[in-house]
Amino acid sequence: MSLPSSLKYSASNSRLVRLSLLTAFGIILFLFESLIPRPLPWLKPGLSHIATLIALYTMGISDAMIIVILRILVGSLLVGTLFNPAFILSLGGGIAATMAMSLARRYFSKIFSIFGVSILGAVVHNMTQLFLVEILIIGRIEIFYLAPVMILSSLFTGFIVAFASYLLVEKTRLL
Amino acid sequence: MVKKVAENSLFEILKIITPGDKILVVLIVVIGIASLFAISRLKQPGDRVIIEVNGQELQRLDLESSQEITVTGPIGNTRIKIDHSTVQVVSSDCPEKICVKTGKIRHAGEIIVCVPNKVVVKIIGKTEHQFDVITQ
Repeated sequence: MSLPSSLKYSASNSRLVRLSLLTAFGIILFLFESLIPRPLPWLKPGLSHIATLIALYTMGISDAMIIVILRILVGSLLVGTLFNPAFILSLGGGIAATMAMSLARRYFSKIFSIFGVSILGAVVHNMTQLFLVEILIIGRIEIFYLAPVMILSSLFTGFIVAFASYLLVEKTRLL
Repeated sequence: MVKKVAENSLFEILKIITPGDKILVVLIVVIGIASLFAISRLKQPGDRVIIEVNGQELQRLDLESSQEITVTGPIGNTRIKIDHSTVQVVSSDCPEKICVKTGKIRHAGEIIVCVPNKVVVKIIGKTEHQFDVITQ
């Protein structure tokens, strides 16, 4: 007996479901993050990159990029920052961080574990945002006075994001 | 059970972390601390306060003065207070209030930015030259 035709595309269906679930997961973290109080207004933990990392480690580079872009589009729409400067900062930082993490994952997977990849992503995310603020909004180099704080905080946020992703990928059999 | 998994995993991390990770962390800490020192050496006492709206310089005020100014940006008013050689944004119509939370600034080169309202408040020092770029 042949399989019903609806099961023929199960590989791409499974990809679609994973893409949707990880995007939704990323959006939830994005929204959650915008609600928690922060000691310094720029310092976000970047929790939504947990979804990016999981996608990168369980699906692939292009799927991770799709998830990031969808998450920022929908997340910004829900937070109310769509197409304003904060959105450009999110999008630029998110895409740059995902590119950096993808490169590290693909070409340096022997050198960096998920922790190194995540910390690298956090640093690139923050630095890209500083550059974007410098180019688009201020045009003055003084914004880089924030750089040390952001670089050092990236270590902690990158570690937390990597730890959460590691637990979800390795310790649960959900993905 | 979740707690146990998390605790065990913290030990497992030590096995997962590669030498490359450790080098990356050390490198980032060194760069972070070095840039912290580099920047703190660049800091000078402030002299003047520059208020920009929409990229246009609106006002240039003495940091030693004591006053409150209200400027209007694309989405509303931003109130700026100069007092005791410090500047702060006391209230703003922007949604996230990041400029208000930034608090007081006092050194040359320090800056408060309100992204939604396109307001920039910055301090320049006495010795700072007034050119944007020098070409040679």
